[in-house]
Amino acid sequence: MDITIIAQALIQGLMLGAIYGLIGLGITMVYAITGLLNFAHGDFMAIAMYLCLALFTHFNMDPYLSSLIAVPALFVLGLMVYHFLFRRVLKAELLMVVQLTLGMVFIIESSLLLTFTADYESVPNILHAVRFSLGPLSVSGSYLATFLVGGGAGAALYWVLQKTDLGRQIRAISQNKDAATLMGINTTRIQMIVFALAIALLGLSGSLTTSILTMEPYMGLELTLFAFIVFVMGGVGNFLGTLVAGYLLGIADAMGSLFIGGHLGAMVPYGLFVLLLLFRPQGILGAK
Amino acid sequence: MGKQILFVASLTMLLVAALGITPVVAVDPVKIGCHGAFTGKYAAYGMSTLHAVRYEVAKKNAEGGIKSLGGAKIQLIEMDNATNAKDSVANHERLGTNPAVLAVIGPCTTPMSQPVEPIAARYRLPTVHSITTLDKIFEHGNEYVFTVSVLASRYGATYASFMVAMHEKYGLTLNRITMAYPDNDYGISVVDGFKKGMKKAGFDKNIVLDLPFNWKSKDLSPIVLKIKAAKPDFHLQVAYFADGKLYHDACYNLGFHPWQVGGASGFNHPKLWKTLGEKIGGATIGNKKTFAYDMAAFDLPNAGRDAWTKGFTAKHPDITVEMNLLLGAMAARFVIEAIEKAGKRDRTAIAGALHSLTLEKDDPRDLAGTYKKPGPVWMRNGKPNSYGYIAQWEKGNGRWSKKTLFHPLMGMLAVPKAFR
Amino acid sequence: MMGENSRTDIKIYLGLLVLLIVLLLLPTRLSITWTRTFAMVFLFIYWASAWNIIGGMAGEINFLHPIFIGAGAYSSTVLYINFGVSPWVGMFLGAAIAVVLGLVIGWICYRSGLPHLSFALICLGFSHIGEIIALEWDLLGGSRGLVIRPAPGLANMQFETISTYYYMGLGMAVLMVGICHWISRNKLGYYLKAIKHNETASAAIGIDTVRYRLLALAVSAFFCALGGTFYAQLVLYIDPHSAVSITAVISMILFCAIGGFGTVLGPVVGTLILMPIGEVVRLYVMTGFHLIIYGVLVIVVILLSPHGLVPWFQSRMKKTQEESPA
Repeated sequence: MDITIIAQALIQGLMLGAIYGLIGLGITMVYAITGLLNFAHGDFMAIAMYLCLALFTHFNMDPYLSSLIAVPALFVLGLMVYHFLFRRVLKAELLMVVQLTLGMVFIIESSLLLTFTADYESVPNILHAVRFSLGPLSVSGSYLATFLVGGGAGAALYWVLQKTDLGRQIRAISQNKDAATLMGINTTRIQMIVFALAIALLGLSGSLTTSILTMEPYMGLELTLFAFIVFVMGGVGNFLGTLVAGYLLGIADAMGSLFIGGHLGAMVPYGLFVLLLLFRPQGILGAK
Repeated sequence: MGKQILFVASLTMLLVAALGITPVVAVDPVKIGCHGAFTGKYAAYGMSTLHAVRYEVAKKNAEGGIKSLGGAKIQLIEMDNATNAKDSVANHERLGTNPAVLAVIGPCTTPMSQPVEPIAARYRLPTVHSITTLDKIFEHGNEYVFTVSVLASRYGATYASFMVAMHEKYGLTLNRITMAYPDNDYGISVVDGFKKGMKKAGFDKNIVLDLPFNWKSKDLSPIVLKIKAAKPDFHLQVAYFADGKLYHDACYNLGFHPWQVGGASGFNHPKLWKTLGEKIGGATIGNKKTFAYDMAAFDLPNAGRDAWTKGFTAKHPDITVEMNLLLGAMAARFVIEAIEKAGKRDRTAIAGALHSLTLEKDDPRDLAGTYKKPGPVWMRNGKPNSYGYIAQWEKGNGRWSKKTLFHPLMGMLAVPKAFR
Repeated sequence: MMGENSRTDIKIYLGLLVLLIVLLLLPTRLSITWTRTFAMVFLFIYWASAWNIIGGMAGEINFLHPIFIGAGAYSSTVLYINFGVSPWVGMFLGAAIAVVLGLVIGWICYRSGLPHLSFALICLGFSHIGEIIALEWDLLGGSRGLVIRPAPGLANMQFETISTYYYMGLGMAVLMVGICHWISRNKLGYYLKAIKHNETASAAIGIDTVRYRLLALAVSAFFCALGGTFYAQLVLYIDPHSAVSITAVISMILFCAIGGFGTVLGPVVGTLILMPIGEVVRLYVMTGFHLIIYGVLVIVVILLSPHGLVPWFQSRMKKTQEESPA
């Protein structure tokens, strides 16, 4: 096969992978600080996307502009969900938390269906029809924007974690919650903020991808699965690893459909994940 | 306080009940089932059918009900299968075991229709699908299943005869033909029909790429890269809405604009314009080298459809009249007509009446305009005797609309953009 | 303490007996629709109980069951359609395949000592691969699925009347609950509980954790697969979407959660409450709304009694007994 074709598919895989990584980052944040698994993760992103759709339909607002509304809105939603639901199950069995969030999945998906119907939707943004070329290779503007923002978000998170007070407190909590509490860190407050930030990040991812992904009310669970896979592949709780795993998964996806195709090609990312976990259970960048 | 409320409430309920009973109905109503995917993945399709069926039933009742049954009113029993086979089967059996139910419209879509076919046979329950396209369902010798939609294999046959017509009339070369399609029953049936048609015309050897793809994929760039590498003279892209959108995005992004024909929703759905935006849409689906499969030729005269649209829009101004709605209305009309014709509450007689329905040339009952051959509505086994059209998006007065170009039985109807 | 427990138990079993008698007489009063719905409810009690052995008792987030159900449903159906083998025979082949698959996947995963989340995800990965194989393999009908032509007869495991399916489902559910009860009172049950509580400690006191988890998984897989055959014969149609369905296992977990993970009666209570409510809402209230009700119920139950209804009920009964003069 022509080398430019492979290179082009590689680029496309990287771009797609950036989206996976971006979605996975939120899961990593929540897990690092609360040890909770949110199966409704992808559904929050679906909420953000439908919010952009509504703003576009009624006010003709560009999704990039809508992110100024979607991000704070999802932040508040995150605060509320944490306060009313998650806070109460922090000490419950893992399976119970899984169930609680699956309950949220049912509610969100059915509500989206009843409000927006099951039609496939997507909203073009200002960069959607812009193409950047380099020789024979090209990339769409909205993909590139998502790629850059994804990388930027990862870098920003890294900076916050390493260089700020909040970051030090977060790291203290994720290493040893009780000790952190004894040191006078307000763990509940930090957990709430981080959870809400993770949901807000989904607001951003949602606004960025309305032109790339086709939305439908049931899209959330699949996104969650991808986010989980990325999260575990990268090494549980490792931000950089999450991004890298996202890229890997995206590339596997592209290569699978380029070289194998059909349903079998769709198996490649899952196969990669299973193999990786079996031979390196701690993930790509995880410490043993 | 609580007791008072209770008292008032029960009084109201009594009143309502009394009022409901007072108009004494002389004839038992005729019961028709309508079930399909009203929620879940295919809800958009199911709801189209339901809206149209409700409208048709209300209209018939307003006109005095089924005359051959003494003006019996039609009562519609609606059931949702939530886009899953298990509930579809349960619904169909529920309708089948209710002797008052004479016929069923739906389940609308192929995956939900397939499992109910044996049930329709077991209970001898006339079952008219609206949007179901899979040929296989109608190949078991079952006298009780019908569909109104054009069959998947006929989609393929239409693509083939269009390509051949473009070759013969406008001299397009067909030395390298490529085809990409969803890796599922629908895609495979369409492509089978296409290959058969190409073989008949002697072009089957020229198919250089046979590419099934995963239609749930989040990005189709690798698929487009493969097609581009095959350097097609003419490409066939079988596409649903979501994967069609991804396909056009990828084509635009990779600067790939071959002669191509595709469909259905991924090429002909008006919503694509909102989704792709003017610029990408104009370069892909609006391209002069791109053609779309379409079932409803909305630009061709069709008195029946226009009348129906007028009536429906007056009642439901918020619902756009589109293909699936028309198919639902046709299914309802055929069922009602068959009951009227049978003149008795007997399922076998109604199935027989359905089989004996015929359409004239340009029949006003052919809302979709897909039956171009006068004769029975259904061939043996409930397969409809209909074909779709090939159309092209054209811009006029700042709006994009479809111009119908080709029908397999009528040949070229207009000159494509590229040759004017 | 022991005495009180057993007295509570006697009451519970008496209640169950009454319930069973009611259920035995029910089909004479039920419409065909509801008879079918209850046949499906029993199947889900059966499946949820089977899941509960590995999921609830051993405390794993195990999503492998779509594979087991699929193995059962597809094996018997393929054998029946293509070679005329009776589903009564085919179901055991399916169960055997499920057990082998379960043991292989389980052995790989348990040995590498994956943490809960990774294990859950790897299960989902395997289930997804299973679904893709079903989609891809022509023998299994691909995405088109397999239709079983109706041919009622005991040998074909197809019955004229739905009530026969009802009784068969009821029998399977009772059998499964009995097996769970037996396991919970036996070495396997105690070991599983210990493993759930603390796997490292259990290994330290000499429990071969891998072996007992594998055993539990094998039992769970075996019975799930048999249920898969029953499902195929009841619906007479299977496709990858419905027979290798992750949604089905999510529902099972949901029912167990409401009833109480790891308890013998939890899956029974959870399923008996949720499924009929869902069906009523779906048919009579508002289509699409039943999932919202499921979701709200789950959240409410988890917030109010995080261990599910059965443990909540048991602790209440114990309390009233302690309060009443002995």
